[in-house]
Amino acid sequence: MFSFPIQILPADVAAETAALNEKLAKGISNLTNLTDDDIDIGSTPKDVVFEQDGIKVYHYHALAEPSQIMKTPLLIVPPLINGYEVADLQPDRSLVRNLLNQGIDVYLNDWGYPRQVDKYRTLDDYINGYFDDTVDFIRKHHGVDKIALFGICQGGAMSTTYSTLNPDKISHLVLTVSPIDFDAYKANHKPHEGLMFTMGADADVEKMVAVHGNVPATVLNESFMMASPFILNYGKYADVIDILDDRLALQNFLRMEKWLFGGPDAGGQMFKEFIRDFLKGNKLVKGTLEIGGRKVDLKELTIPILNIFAEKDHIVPPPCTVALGKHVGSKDYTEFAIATGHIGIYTGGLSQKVLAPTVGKWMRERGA
Amino acid sequence: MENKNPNEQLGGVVNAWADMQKRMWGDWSSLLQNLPGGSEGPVEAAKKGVAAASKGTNEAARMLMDRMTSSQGAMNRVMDFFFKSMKIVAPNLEANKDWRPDLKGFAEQWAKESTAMLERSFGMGSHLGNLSSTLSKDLPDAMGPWLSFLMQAASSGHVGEAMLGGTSGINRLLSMEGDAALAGVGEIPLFGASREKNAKLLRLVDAVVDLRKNSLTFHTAFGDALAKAVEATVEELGKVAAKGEKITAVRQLMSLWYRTADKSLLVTFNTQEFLDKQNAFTAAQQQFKLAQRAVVEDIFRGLDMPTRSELDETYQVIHELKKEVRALKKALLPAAPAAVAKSSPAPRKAAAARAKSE
Repeated sequence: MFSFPIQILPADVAAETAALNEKLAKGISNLTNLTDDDIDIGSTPKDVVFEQDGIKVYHYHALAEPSQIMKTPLLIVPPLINGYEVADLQPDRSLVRNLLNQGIDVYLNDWGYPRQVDKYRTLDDYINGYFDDTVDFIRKHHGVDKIALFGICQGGAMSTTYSTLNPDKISHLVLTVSPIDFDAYKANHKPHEGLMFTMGADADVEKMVAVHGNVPATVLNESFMMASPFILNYGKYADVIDILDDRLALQNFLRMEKWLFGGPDAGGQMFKEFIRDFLKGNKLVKGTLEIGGRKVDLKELTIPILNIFAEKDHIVPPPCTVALGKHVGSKDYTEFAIATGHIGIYTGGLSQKVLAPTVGKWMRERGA
Repeated sequence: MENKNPNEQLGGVVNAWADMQKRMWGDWSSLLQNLPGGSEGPVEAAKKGVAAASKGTNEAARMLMDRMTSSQGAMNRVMDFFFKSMKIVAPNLEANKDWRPDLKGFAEQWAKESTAMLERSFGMGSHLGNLSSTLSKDLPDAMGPWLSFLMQAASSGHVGEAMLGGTSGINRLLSMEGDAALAGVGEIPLFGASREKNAKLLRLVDAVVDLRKNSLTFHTAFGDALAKAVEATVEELGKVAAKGEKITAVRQLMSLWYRTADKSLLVTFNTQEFLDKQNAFTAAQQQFKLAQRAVVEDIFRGLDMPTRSELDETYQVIHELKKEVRALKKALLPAAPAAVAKSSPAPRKAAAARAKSE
């Protein structure tokens, strides 16, 4: 007979409840004493050096000795559908700080928060317009012909596209968890993989944009949370009780919450085109992608490429990122895996030790 | 002392869970009563307390309070589903019988209850009833026979489409009557000059009907998905038992249920069958919003207020003008070779100031 393993006695429940209540009482005090200044994200010191239509370019203050700073600046390109702060969540979990400590001169493109008036911006506007203007500004500001790019997720797909179209402006391309081949996960499909892509491929984005204008961040968040609905919607908030009495842990929890739920809406036309051309059409790897009437041929991408992916990525399955190697013309193509997840690659403990040093070493070895 | 009777164990756990909820959140609420705004209920109290203590600057903490309190209700429903499922599974386990058919029956019942709850929140039944009675009351008696056909035609489908004429359903019905004169009635513009406005209203009703149907289908699929998650959890409990281990805390049990359910749900969510139902539900929600907007825009036009469509046109013009300005600026400003900046790098602050003015 099945020996039922649930043996919860009333006395255990009473003890558990008492312990939780104690945590809650302390937690109330911590919560009421924390201000928004305590839950700062994106806090590494920086200047806004360029601004256009709500899109800002940050230049971060150097952390390395001047003699150690590389001559080629690096532009971080975040996705259009998430806040840039994932690259700088908190001082001890900051990709930006880690890159600065490697002697890299770091710029970052903050795409901002599209409003309804911005919903007609196309991928062409973003890539051949704002992105190109940013790169031109940094080249001029820094006095160099070429700069390096560091793409984050969707920002990586955009960086790949831009680098292919502008070989005269980009010297090195670093990609992190970037979707390139949106069908690659299907070859050896595991039933729990690729939910975001499968949902996206079936979604009626035309109608979604007709309804919303810009696709609300809440809609995107709900899709992301379907990958782990109970833990992300309930379990996480039940577990937070355990850290309510730990001010530092609570601060860090709230920083992640602030980033997760404070992100931008996805610009309507851009989102429609990205889903149509990149996700559904998979045109980047098929060689049929055109941006602003210019064909994007990955064989023309010949600069050094460092392609970093997360082994436990549930949003962009690793096969979809590493497929890039088959399609590019570059003879200097390197892959690097980190045993973490899609967000953990920027905020996880292991990545803090591994990601930036790998990028720094790779850039130095290539004369950056 | 170990209790080997799963029925008794579960009864105890369910009672303990209810007690824990009551005591934990009861105490939580009483703590909040001491904060400003405590008399308005725990959620408001928490928000006001946090806001007052931090002089309104603690948005992240307020957000957490919102999420903790709003997730609590949903979390309890999910746990209730689990406990109720287990109460169905346990007697069969004890009797060494297959518990899956009973679990499936429970999931179906749960889906029906969920959708009934949604229907009540939509007020769909009463909306359709009101529409029918208004039409019967306000239209001339001469239209009575037509309305009677209409009601029959629409009884299992779209009232709006049927009323607008030209539907295969109503025409078939009328032609079946063999009355040529009457058949033409189906084609008349029912509301004359106001037909188009009413058409939008009726299409909105159709959209709600579709939303209701697709909601039922989706929630049934979701109920099935939850039942599969319970199956997976029973298997996990079997593994725990096989190892001779015990679950002695409510949160330990919650954790097992959440982890196992999430794995199972992710697999179900990724099946084409589930995605089709989810997409149909989403499409129905979107169609409802579009139909709703069509009605609202008519009202706005009547009040000389700008509509979403008119604003969209303006946004598009602004977008195109901005694009032209950017292109003109780029064409007119002299290209600055990189070498200029390289020869005399400006201090960071000065560079920032200059860049901002560009």
